[in-house]
Amino acid sequence: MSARDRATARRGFSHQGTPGAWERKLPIATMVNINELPENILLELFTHVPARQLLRNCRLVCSHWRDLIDVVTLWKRKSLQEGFITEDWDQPVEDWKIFYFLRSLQRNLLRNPCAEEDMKSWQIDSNEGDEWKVESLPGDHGTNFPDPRVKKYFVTSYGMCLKSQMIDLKAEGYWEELMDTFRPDIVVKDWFAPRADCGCIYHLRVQLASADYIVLASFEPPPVTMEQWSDTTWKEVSYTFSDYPPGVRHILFQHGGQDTQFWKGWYGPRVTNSSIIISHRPAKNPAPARPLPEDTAVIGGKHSASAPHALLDFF
Amino acid sequence: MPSIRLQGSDGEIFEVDVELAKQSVTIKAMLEDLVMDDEGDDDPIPLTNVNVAILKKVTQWCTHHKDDPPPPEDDENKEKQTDDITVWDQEFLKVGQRTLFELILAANYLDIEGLLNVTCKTVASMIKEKTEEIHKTFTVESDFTEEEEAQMRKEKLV
Repeated sequence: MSARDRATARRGFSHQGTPGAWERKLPIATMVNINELPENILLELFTHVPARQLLRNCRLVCSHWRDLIDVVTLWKRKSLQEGFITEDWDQPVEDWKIFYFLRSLQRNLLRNPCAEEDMKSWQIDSNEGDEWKVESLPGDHGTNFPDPRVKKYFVTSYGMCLKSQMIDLKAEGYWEELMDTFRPDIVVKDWFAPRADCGCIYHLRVQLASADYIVLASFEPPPVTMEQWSDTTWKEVSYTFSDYPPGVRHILFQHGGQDTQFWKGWYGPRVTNSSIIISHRPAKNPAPARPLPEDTAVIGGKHSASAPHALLDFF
Repeated sequence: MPSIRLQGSDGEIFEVDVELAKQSVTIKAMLEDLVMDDEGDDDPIPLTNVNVAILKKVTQWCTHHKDDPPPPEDDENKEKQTDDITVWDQEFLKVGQRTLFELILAANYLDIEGLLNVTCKTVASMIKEKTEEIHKTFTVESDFTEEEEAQMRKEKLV
């Protein structure tokens, strides 16, 4: 056996080609159809096709394509491509396709959280006293914000000031099946602080609602009263909606407050850097939760339904 | 300019510059094995899975790309968009579907990353169409029943 024969045999090239590259031993000349390409090549092709196209069109071509597109490796590779994971990722992921989509969509769903665009994107539900105002950090008798990227805040007055945003999940890219089958964790955060020289009360309410605005889950802690001359450090409130019922299509976020001493001007609580971020972690139980009782409130009302585990430090 | 001889699946011999041939990780490895064996015989390297016509096209691509920088290590490098195919490559790949697939298979077998990349991106851009067009372009038939297909369309995954 010549040296070359030995070399080719060692690499298994004599008739099989690169290990793993060939499922069949057809010489290339007779191959004409895309479905005759080895699976690893088809997978390689699919990694170059945008995710939406794969799910919307390619998956419907034939069962061979559907099975390949559903293969875990493809979505793991795409996640790697986008930088959602690193090569040494070792956290368990149940469904890589869903992980990929949830990570692609992940961002703060609240607009203008830090008052950079004045009051834009916020609906004003209550504007009493001298009404809502925007000021720059740290503000009079205030403290700087822990994150230097946040430069401004909203401040309330001596009458009730409340503002809100209603998020339309479908419009934000969270389609119905995704929300209902996987019910990814919804993480809500807000930051608030009093002025040192005046007492005030801070209010927060977050509700998950159906397409018809029926409340499916709610987080409405009791209002926080801060005395005059209390600590002005910015406080963070955080809450995660987990294992909520299927059917969530809207999220209502509302906050605000007023001062307790009826002073003209803006001495009520200050708020900024609010966020609603849908995590890439789906619900632990795939089965839908039990249906709600018949007297469940419509959104906007005070009654709250189930309120799963509270993560707040403050309340 | 030292050259080596490659033998295609059709038996034909094809001579190519060694440095160009080494763009193929497969051939490079084989050459290293041969140097270690130190027998110095002149038999051509058999490439039983590639015919000479395709070998010639591959050589053409390698010649044009011989001064390309080596591809960066994976981790930091994000995949570029399909629009990143150079004009030269686009022209080079204006071939029939069969030749395109043959080039993909050759690039895979010979382990030439740049060529595999650019040929896959080219085919991928043909896949970025509606389902019916994919059926036509690639002569693939659906094996779903009407109910299955209706169900899948209803799923509305995106």
